[in-house]
Amino acid sequence: MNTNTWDCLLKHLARDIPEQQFNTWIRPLQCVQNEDRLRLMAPNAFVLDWVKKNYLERLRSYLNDSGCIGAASISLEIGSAPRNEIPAAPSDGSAGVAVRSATSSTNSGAVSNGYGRPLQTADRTPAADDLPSTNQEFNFDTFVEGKSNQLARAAGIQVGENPGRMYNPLFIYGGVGLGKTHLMHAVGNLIKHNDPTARVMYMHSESFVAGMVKALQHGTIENYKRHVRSVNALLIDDVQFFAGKERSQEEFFHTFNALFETRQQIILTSDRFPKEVEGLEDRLKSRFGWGLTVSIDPPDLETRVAILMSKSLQLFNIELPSEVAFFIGKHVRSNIRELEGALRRINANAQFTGNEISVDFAREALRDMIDAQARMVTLDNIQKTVAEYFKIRVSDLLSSKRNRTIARPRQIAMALSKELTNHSLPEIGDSFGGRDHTTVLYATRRIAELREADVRVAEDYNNLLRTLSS
Amino acid sequence: MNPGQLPLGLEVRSPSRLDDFVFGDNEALLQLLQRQLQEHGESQLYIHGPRGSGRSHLLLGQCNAAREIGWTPAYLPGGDIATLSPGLLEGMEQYPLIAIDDVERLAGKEDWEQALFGLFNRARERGARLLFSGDKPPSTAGFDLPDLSSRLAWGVTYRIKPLQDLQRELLLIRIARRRGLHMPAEVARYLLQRHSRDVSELARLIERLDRDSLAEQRRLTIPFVRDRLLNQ
Repeated sequence: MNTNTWDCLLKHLARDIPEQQFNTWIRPLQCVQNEDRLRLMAPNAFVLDWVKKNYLERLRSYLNDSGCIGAASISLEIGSAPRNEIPAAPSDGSAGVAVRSATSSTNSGAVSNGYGRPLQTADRTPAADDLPSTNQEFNFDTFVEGKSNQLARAAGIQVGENPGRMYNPLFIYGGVGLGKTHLMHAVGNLIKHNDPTARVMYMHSESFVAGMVKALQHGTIENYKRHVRSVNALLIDDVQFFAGKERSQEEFFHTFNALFETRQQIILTSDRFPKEVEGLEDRLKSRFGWGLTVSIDPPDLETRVAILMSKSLQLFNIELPSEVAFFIGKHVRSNIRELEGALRRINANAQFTGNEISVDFAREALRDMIDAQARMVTLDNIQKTVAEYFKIRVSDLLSSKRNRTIARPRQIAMALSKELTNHSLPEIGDSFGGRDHTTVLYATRRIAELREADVRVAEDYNNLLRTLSS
Repeated sequence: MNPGQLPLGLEVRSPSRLDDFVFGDNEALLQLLQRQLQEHGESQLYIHGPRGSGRSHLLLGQCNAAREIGWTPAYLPGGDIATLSPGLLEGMEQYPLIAIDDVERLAGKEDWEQALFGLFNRARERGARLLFSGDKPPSTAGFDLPDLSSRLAWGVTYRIKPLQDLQRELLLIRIARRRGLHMPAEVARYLLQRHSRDVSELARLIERLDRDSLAEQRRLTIPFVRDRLLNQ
């Protein structure tokens, strides 16, 4: 093998093209040399066209004039050079699934790029039959139970123990970063634990669509259909991204029917209740509601603390002091991903400085985030944000109007003020047009009840909470 | 005035490297970047800081460091690609390191946000490392897709701390050195006291000084720089 020709061409081009462009368009090309032909692999059609249009002539002229010997011609194609190694699993349980065979059509010849030095493969369930598989890190042991996800977890265990029988489909919905994907993987892993021969396929809806588009392009749609319909459990994440994709919905509809009729388990997640997913065909929405629909709500403080302590052990093998967990939990309320991001930041700082993790240390590590949040979460800003959200005026919130379109947003604003600020109830009441503290107390209790009973109130409250605390 | 010799359009340009970067009080960031390329390193890093804080240099430097251990990284500058088709992101998950510079430039563009979200999921499934830079932290970068916003905040977020004066001097000297130009410390100090302290602007000034000093065959001295600043 001889990669010197490509290296030689790269040296010439690096002098000619600004560094950013060179790194965007040229360096990522992977080169396979077959005798006197350089085959350059681009990751997609767009890059291929761009390189062809802007750089190919120049590359060819270097081949002739610059003394870069060893090859007579250059061709461009879509694909990647074959390689055998992958980076080891990152520290957070994000996949690192084994890289399958190269997408280029032939593997012979010299390979000048790849993942380089050998590294361990990730801790993934072996994908013996080439199914996109579940992540073993996401199981019920690492799923922290709280009031906000109790029902969803219990339903997940039932489905994992009795796939295809109890609740089909299992539809899990909730805001971003609350653990829907984790729960979905946990069910898939439980199914495989109970029956190691079970074929469990996990796919993000976007991958389902991309796979289908590719199959249509290559005329292999029948194979794709057979592949997806051959499983014992199909897990599709974020089905709201099917919105507006009619052909994908059509295909998924038939896949759903085929699996349902043969009593194979289907598990779906979405950011909202099935009937409220916009851009989905009614027949799909109705099927999504055939089984059991469960929600995951934002975790309360105690659950956030438990999640932090569990993640700290799981990710860094560190027992996080409970007072630190409470401190982080009080300041990061929006979702579990941001909770994990904050924990990572504190841990990285601790590793660098060698300091013990204390409340003061955490405060310093998260200082910019806490400052930004403090600027965001003032009584004035809560009122302004709530008024904008419900498309009413701030003056309405402060007025004595008692019709529901005003009173409900006012109660929500009061409840948010109590949750997100340290102001006393009389101060909060005062800021809402001089109301009594008992009115604030009533409002917060009423909203707590309504969040349990009314999906819309819960969603509005959570959206506002996310806006104000992220 | 003698117009001097016109310099050839050839410039000495060495690739951005992490060891050229003046980290100043950001040593922890260097450690994070180095760890990202190690086994079990951080899967995701988000670096933010104002314009001129060296974010592009850091990302390009990290790409070079990745290449030195045999990886093929992908570098995507948000400002340049935002006007192109989001199809550009297809298949990018095959690279073990994906560095997206000025990621906020893709915010508010529905098709780009969706494509970036898709790439994010595919990259994590493949175990690729992700490196982002932006002028603001993820939560205020202006993304409309909450799924994407929360994912950007998943890994370690690092705010670049501004350089102190001595560190800025060192930075100017290094920028000049990358162009093959010797800049004495007193000249660097002189520039910092009399010119914009924005690093991008200073880098452009050094580029001009480099051309002029070559054309006029003069070394970088305070009188020469004073003359150039007066005549710019």
